[in-house]
Amino acid sequence: MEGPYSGLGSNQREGYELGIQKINESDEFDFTIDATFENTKSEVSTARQKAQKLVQQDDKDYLSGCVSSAASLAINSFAQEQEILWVPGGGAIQITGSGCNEWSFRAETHSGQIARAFGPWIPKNIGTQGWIHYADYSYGKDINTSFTEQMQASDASVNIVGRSTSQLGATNFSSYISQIENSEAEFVVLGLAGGDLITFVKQAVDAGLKETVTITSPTMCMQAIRNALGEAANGTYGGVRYDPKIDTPANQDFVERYQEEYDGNPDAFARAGFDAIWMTAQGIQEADDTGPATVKDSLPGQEVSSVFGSNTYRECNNQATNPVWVGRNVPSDQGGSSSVELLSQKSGQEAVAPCSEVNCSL
Amino acid sequence: MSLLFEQLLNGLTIGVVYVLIAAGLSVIFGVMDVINFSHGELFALGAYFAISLAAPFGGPGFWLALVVAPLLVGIIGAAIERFTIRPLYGRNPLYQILLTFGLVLVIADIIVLLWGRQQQQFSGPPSLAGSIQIFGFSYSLYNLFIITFGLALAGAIWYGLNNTRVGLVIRAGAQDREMVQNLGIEIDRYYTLVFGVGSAIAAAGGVVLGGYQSVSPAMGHSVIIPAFVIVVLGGLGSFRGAVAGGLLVGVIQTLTRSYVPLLEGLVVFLLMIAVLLVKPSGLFGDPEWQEAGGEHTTLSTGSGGILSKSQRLRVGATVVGALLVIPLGTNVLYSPYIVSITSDILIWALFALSLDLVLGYAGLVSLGHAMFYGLGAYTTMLTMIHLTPSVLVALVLAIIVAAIIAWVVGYLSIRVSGIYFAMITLAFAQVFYNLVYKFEWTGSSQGLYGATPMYGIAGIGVAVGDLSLSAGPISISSAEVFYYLLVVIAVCSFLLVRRIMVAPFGSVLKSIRESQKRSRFVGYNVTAHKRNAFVLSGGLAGLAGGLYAISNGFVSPDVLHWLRSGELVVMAVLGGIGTLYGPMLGAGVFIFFEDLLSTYIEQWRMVLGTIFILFVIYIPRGIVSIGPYLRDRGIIDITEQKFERSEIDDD
Amino acid sequence: MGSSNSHTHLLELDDVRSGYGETEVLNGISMTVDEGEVVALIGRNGAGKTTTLRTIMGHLVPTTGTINYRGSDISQRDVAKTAQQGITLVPEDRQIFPGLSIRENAKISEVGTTHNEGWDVDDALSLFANLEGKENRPGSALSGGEQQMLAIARALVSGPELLVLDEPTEGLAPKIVDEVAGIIADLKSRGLTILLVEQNVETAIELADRVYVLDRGEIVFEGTTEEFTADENIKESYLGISE
Repeated sequence: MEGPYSGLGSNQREGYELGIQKINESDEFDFTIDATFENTKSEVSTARQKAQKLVQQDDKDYLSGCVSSAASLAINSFAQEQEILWVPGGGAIQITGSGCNEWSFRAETHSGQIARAFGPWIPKNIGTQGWIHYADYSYGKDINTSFTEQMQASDASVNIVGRSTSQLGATNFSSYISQIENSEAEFVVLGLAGGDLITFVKQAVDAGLKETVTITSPTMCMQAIRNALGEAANGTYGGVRYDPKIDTPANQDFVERYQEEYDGNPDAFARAGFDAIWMTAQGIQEADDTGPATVKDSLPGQEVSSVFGSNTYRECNNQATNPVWVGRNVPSDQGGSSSVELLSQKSGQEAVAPCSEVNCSL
Repeated sequence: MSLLFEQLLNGLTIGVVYVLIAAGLSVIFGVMDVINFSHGELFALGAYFAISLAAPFGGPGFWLALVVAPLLVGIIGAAIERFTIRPLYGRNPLYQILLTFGLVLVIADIIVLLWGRQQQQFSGPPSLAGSIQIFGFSYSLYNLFIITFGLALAGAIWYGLNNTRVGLVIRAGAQDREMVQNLGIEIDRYYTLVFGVGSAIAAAGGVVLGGYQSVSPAMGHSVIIPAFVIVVLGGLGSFRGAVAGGLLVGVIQTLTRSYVPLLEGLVVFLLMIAVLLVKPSGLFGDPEWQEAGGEHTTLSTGSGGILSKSQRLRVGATVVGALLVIPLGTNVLYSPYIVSITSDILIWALFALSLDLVLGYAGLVSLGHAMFYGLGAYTTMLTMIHLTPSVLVALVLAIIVAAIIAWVVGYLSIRVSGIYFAMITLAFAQVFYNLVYKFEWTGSSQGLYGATPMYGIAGIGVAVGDLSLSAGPISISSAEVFYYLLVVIAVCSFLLVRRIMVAPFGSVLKSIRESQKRSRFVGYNVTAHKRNAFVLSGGLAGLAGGLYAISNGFVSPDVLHWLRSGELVVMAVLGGIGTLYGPMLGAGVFIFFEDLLSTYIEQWRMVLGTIFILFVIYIPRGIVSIGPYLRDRGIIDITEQKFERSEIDDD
Repeated sequence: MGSSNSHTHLLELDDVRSGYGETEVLNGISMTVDEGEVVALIGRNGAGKTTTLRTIMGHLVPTTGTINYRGSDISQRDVAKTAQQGITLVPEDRQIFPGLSIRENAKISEVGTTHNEGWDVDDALSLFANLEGKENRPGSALSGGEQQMLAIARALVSGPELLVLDEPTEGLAPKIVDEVAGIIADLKSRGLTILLVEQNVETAIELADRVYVLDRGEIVFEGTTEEFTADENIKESYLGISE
């Protein structure tokens, strides 16, 4: 869990640890989880090699991990080949879209779900003249197409006045910022993740872009992003995959566990790690068999509990139906990095694309 | 119009930071021939020190950081020179590349250890926040500060170089170190100073850039390649060149990004290749100096004739025998993972063998070998997806494509020598790396998936995933069948290459490695021989890449990443170049240790990096020079350091 | 240790073997240079002349044998130390710093002079009329002859006790050859000790007091200039000169 996504990987791991703790402590489950963690450097080849090691040497039947979508996809096909159950952490649509298979179950919310919740909200609340800037890789491209689609579907007068792309891992966005500043755009949608997003927003705020253009990004409200940006994040909008304030008993339990074990509040990656373990464990319990071949047949469509409350891996593509919120970063009471104000919510069923639009055949 | 002007300022902002990084890199190279890969990490260290200093002191913290962080990093840089690089002077620059590679791993891990993996940020001082109006449009005050500060610092260094005695010696040393010594000047006394000051300037760049973007552990590796391009573009060792190159690259990158996004990531490398082809010494480099440096660079190669023929045969047979029985123990003695990891090792060994052909035999330091490996992998995958699933056809095409590209790259680059060759191959590799991101048909960042490789040809055959054999109690899984195929290919390739190397072609290559001038006088076509070796090597690397694609079932752009080329050189030197089997052994040891260490130790890179550093300093001829089968030291031909003032260290 | 004569030579090589890696170029050569004399070392291309100089300077360490300078062994010294002791090399390809101005090229020698007084930069440059008025031009702008002159001037600034000239007239036009030879003669008349390596036999005998002929790493002739001029056999068989 290193490389560009490294910081996020360690949060995900904290979620896993708590999930395992929960299962192993609880009487509800007739089995315990014995976990081994490996480090993938966020390189696809290493991810695959490590997966191979976990399956062949450590005899693991269940794998989960990888914040990187490319690595998640690589292990998708590996899981099918090796017949093990795989819960990927990547957010690209493809993972439970064209690259889906019956062995791969995603507890994480994908970028298409966020687009369905957040996209239509933008023209209704911010404006119709937009700019889309995205990183030139699968996630960024997903954002570009899905937001264009969702915004235009909700308001035909939406006009994308310009689009620009940067390389993954770019560190200097000044030229794009100048272009956006000099355009008619009222808002910009950023299809950037992690460090790219942080750097972009920081430079945009320094250049004064925030005064004329509203900055939005599907991951803008993520804890890691807010922490890194400090006050610079105030007044920006984002999709919210998870918020520690969500009012479900399961979430309260999760937040308590988290605070007890680590400092601060869990983030979306920790949530996904936790649910990856918990939801799968319920599948194993229901199947009454720890063999992944049985579980992969019973888990789709099964109603399971999650941090969000009741949830299911949809039968058509094994995607968890997680709710999504729209959030705004506001100055925090304690000062320092901003906190999230939740503005609107889409339920899991609303946020997920209908099965007919999912390019997946199981 | 104002947009263009603003873009120029944007370009200058980043360009000035490049200048601060490249200036030290270039002068360090000029004065001491050290290609410092860890320069980027020292730059990152500057930004991290700034984080620690800026936070507790609030507003004035930034100014404090701007003074203290470079000082601290300067001291660290001086210590690095004194304790790790100093023992290596007089050896081929390759050893310093390798050593500084080790330093990259160590410093990067120390950064993670002290500051964590999370992206962090610190703000510039409040007095520089916001933007001001210039020429009728508003521009970020902090960016203007970066430009002013960077230019002022560069100006101060320029003044120091031109108007002080020390500056005079450093400039002269960068142009012709040997002559400076001839005049009674102990140039090595200046090395620590140059390294320290160079590191400090880079750190200052890190501080100002840190206030502009976020600070992450990756910031060091991401800046080092553009910095090299700038140094080569401007002319190795030239301060003026570093300034001009840095500003040029900053502006060109920024303008390309806004006006010709298709060329983003390519244009700088293409520019560098073009400049090197037209004026190999760079824009401000000094051609005479480069000539003078050319003959110095002989590598420490292991000797081929260590064991008697029959002993060698026995050792070889034992290794092959061991490889053949490995799968028989799976599920009994160990898990099938052993077969997977050994398959990986075999592929890397083949790849390392290909590098040794050019590195150990033709004396060409290729830092872009991942290009051929990647081309082989992509060609194989594309063939199997679109043309035929036949493994045989795909691999043959992989070899052909890689060899053709090797011919073209060789044709263009073999005319430049030494370190310029290393840089130009690196640039070509970066071009391919960036190209695969650009197109859908190469899978962009996602890579290529979904082929069903088959043994056989023209649709007749068995899928690789289905072919398993069983005879009585022994059953061989499909992965094991593929494993045996790898063993056969690796052994045959080794024997073939060895055959070629004992043939006249190989002897000529060796004589070229010893002395190009002499070989030319004797009447060999040095360039043609080197190019042929390069093509052979490229083809072999392509084969390795193709096998990787089949074995893994996918390819992604990281097969073309420069770190892969770097790791390959590490493996080759670790094993012992110029021996063919040494680099293969090095690949095995490297992969094994990486796999082992990364499982048990979080800071495994630091451990691996330290091992490399010790190896490079104390055992430059690689593992083959320490093995027990070398106990008969009398017959080892120690061709250590064909360099002037050679110091044979250990014996 | 080698032979110890009644008086100490300024420079004495005794059975020096040296080369590059395992290729031995010098197969045990012995020679001496005394204070105030000009000694010429001549031989064909590849005879080992430059290797001899590189070994004296400390670029190469002899595998066996000793090099005594003023009576103490300098064979293990490094280049800068050798130069500081007063042995100054004007290398074959001049090695002018191309990016430094003419003045800086000469001035840098001041840095290395530690124990002995060198020439003043202006005095050294004024020896060469060709360099006049070009003091601020970069070294790369000079012609071959000018480079040679600057290289000699630079050497003088470092205050040589033994000036080692490697092929000073190589590749120069006849008129310039005469000019450079004139300067060397001038330096000789001022009492400077010079070790001159030359392929141009005519120039060498014009300037030298004694001559060594080197062939395939061995000294095949040693004697005064007169003895050399008289020995047709040597000239014919080792230098390919017949009259």
